[in-house]
Amino acid sequence: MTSPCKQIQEQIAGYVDRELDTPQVNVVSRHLQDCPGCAEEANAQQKMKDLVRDNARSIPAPARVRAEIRRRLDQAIFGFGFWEQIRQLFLLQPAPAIAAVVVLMLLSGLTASFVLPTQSQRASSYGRFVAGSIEGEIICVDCNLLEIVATPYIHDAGHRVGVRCQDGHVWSLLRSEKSQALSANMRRRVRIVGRLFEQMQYVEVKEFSLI
Amino acid sequence: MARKKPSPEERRRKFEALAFPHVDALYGTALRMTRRPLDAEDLLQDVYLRAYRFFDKFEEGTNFKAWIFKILTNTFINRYRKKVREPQQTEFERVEYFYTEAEKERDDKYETHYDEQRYAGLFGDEVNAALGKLSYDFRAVVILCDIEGFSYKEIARIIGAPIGTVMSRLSRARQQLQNYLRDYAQRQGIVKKSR
Repeated sequence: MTSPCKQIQEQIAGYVDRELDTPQVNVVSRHLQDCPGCAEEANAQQKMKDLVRDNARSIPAPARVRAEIRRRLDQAIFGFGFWEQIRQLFLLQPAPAIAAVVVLMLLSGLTASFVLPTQSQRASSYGRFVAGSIEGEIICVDCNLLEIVATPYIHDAGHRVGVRCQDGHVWSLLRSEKSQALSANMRRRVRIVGRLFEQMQYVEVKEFSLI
Repeated sequence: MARKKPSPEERRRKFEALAFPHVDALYGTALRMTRRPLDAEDLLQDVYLRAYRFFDKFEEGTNFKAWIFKILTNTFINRYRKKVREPQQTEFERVEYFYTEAEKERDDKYETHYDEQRYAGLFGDEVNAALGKLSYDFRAVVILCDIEGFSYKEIARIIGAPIGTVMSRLSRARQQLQNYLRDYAQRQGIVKKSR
C-alpha cells in the first residue's frame, strides 16, 4: 500500500458516513476514482454500514420495563440521599469531581490546622434546620439505596442508620451515641425528637422513643 | 438559585415526555451491549434513575437522546467494570450462564461472557451475531453510528473520545465485521471471493 492510500484509508469511514468536509471529500473521491483498492474498501464499508442498518431489527422493550422504571422513579424522588448524589457525580463527571475533592482536601487541611470544628459547627454546615420530630421505621440507609439503584454502595464509615417515614421520606441520622443506640433496633418503629436538616434529610437525634 | 425550581410533578412530567420515547432504542442498545435480556433491563432502569437524578444538568434545547445515551454508556462501563472486579452472581436465572474461572479470565475487561448462540437467538440473524462478537469499544461505535444514527460529534461526546478515534474505530470495526461475515457477505455479493 502506498502512502497516499494509507492516508485515504483513515478517512474512508468518514467518507462513507458523510462526516468529512467538502475539501476532504474531494480529495478522497478523486483518489477513489484512480485507486481500485481503496474504492473497494470504501464500497465494502458502505455495504457493511447498510447491512448493519438493515438488519438492526429492534426488539421493543418488554412492557414491564416501563412500569418498573416508573415505579423506581416514584421511589427515587425521596430515596436518594446526599451521598448517593455525590457518588453519581463521580460516576458521571469524574474529572471535575476529583478536582473539587482535591481542592476541598487542601482547604480543609489548612482550616483544620487552625480550628478543629466542634460537633455543632459540623452540623451547621448541613444548612438550615428546624427543631421537630419524626416518626417512622428504623432502616439501613445504604441497604435502602442498594434496593433502589441496584448498585452496592456502602458508606466509608459503614452502614448508616436512617428512618423511613410514612410519607416515604428517608432521613439519615447524624452519627452520635444516640443514633448508634438506634442501630440496634432495626425495623422497629421509633419517634425521634431533634434537629431536622431538611435540605440534606439529616436528623440530629436529641431524644428518641421506640414505639 | 437563579432559575425557579419546577415542582417535582412538573419535573417528572417533563422528564417522562423527553425520556420515554427512547425506551426501545435504549433497550435495544443495552441488549446489544450486555447481550443478556436481564442485564439489559437492569441497566435500563439504572440509566433512567440516573438520568432523572441529573435531569437538572440537561441543557434544554440540546440533544436529549445523545445525553441519555451518554448516561447509558457510562453506566454500562461502570457496572461491568465493577462486575468483573467483584464477580458475584446470585440471581437464580443467571446461574445457567455459569462459566469457569478460566473462561472468565479470557474475557476482556468490559466484556461479560458471550454466549453466541443465545445472543444470535435474540436477534435471529448473522449480522447481529457478528456485531455481538466485536469488542465493546468497536460494538459501541457501530451501534451508535449505524443503528442509532448519531453523528461523529455526538458519538465522540457519548463515548468520551476524540472524533478521529470514532472514525478509526468505525473503520476497524467494519473490517472486523466483514471478516466475521465473509461467508455471508460472499453469498450476498458484498465482497468478491478471494482475490
